Amino acid sequence: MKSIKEQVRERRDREQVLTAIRARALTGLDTLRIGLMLSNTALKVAGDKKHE
Amino acid sequence: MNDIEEVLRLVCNFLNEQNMRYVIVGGIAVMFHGVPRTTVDIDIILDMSDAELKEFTGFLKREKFNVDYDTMRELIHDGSHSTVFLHEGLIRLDLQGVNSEFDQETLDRAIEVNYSDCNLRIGSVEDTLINKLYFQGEQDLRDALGIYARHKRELDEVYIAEMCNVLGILKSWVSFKEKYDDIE
Repeated sequence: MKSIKEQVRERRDREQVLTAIRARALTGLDTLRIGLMLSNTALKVAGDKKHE
Repeated sequence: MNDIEEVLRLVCNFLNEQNMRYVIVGGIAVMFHGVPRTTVDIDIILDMSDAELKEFTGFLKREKFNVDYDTMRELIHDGSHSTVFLHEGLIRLDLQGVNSEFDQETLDRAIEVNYSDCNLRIGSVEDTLINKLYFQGEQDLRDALGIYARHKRELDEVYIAEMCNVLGILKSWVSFKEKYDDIE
């Protein structure tokens, strides 16, 4: 029987593959833009926390 | 400044204007080639003379990066990384020199893309994948999987196998491919 850690890793890998296949419909510039937006949101949350 | 896109454009615009050789690797390259995720660092391989490095360091200092020329020069010449934080924030640059045949290939095979009126030199899809396979961390392997699944049909697998052989990770590449062979 697989450990929970292994099951989680396999599930995350499957999700990664499905997302990557969907990302084939996008250009590199599209996904770069998404990644930078996600990062800026995370940075903003971290910045807001710091100033609380 | 708390905007990674702005920092990316600022740094690349300077490097482009000065005709300095560089290539962006790591998380930013993964965003372009694989599944987008968050990152707070910009990894750059630099191919610079000491005079250029001094100029670049001066620019970073003026833009409020915590950087020191002597330390950066030493780290880059030693074959290690120089981590440079922007002011008090979380955004950082991870800078390294050309330390191996693979770094040189990554630099030579870089692709140029225009993002929001800024030309970015980014590692090729194959070099970004190899880089992630080489580091072998859990996130690295997931990044590699995202790149592989997205670009499986168009990868230069001969080049990947050759470079993995040079880096001593050919077995890892072969088993990675076998494991994900069923991806359409």
